[in-house]
Amino acid sequence: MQAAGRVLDAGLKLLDRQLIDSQGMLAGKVDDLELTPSQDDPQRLYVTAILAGPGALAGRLGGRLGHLLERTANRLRDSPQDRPARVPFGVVKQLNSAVDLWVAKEELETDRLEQWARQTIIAKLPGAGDAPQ
Amino acid sequence: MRLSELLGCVVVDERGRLVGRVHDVRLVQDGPPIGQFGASLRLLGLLVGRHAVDPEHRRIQIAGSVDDLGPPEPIPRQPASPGAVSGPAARRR
Repeated sequence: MQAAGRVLDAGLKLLDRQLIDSQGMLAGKVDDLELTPSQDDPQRLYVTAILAGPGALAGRLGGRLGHLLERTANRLRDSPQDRPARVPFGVVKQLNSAVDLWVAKEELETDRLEQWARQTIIAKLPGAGDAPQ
Repeated sequence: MRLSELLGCVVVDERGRLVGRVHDVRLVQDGPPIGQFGASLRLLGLLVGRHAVDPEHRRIQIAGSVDDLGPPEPIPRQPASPGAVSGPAARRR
């Protein structure tokens, strides 16, 4: 659990940091943050989730490249919702040089693209059934 | 709302005078508990600089005047590590 009351700059200390799952595996990067207004005071914004993957990065790139990246990421996504992979901030263990998570990579939305590639592309390659996991 | 919607925005005061551009946002961990992380991170303020302002960019209008804002904060610098020392003293080893 993090020390309450500490101050940090989001761009400097959070963006582009590596996500590490509970098994020590790489689970994506912090590409953007979701800010949600407080129910009591809408002027107060809280960080509620980490957004990761190409769909989230597109928002930071902007312009044609960002638009193209977002469209491509949305096409590859199984979910009907047009939004990037979301990691709720409640599963964050601690913020260091990387962002440590309490959960395994397989439980995260950030793993969807890898799962899709595994099922749709790699599984259809000749000899893929014999490949070690 | 996303953080990327704030970064890069042009900030103007209530009279439309330019304050600068959002370079970063400062967070403080004093919000209601969120899962196992503890107190959630609250947006404390915008870090605004005048470098490379594009007037056609998205705008944020703040209450009050640009004159009421405090002086710029010094940029924190990391102490140089011994390995980073260059020059004759380092080359002598």
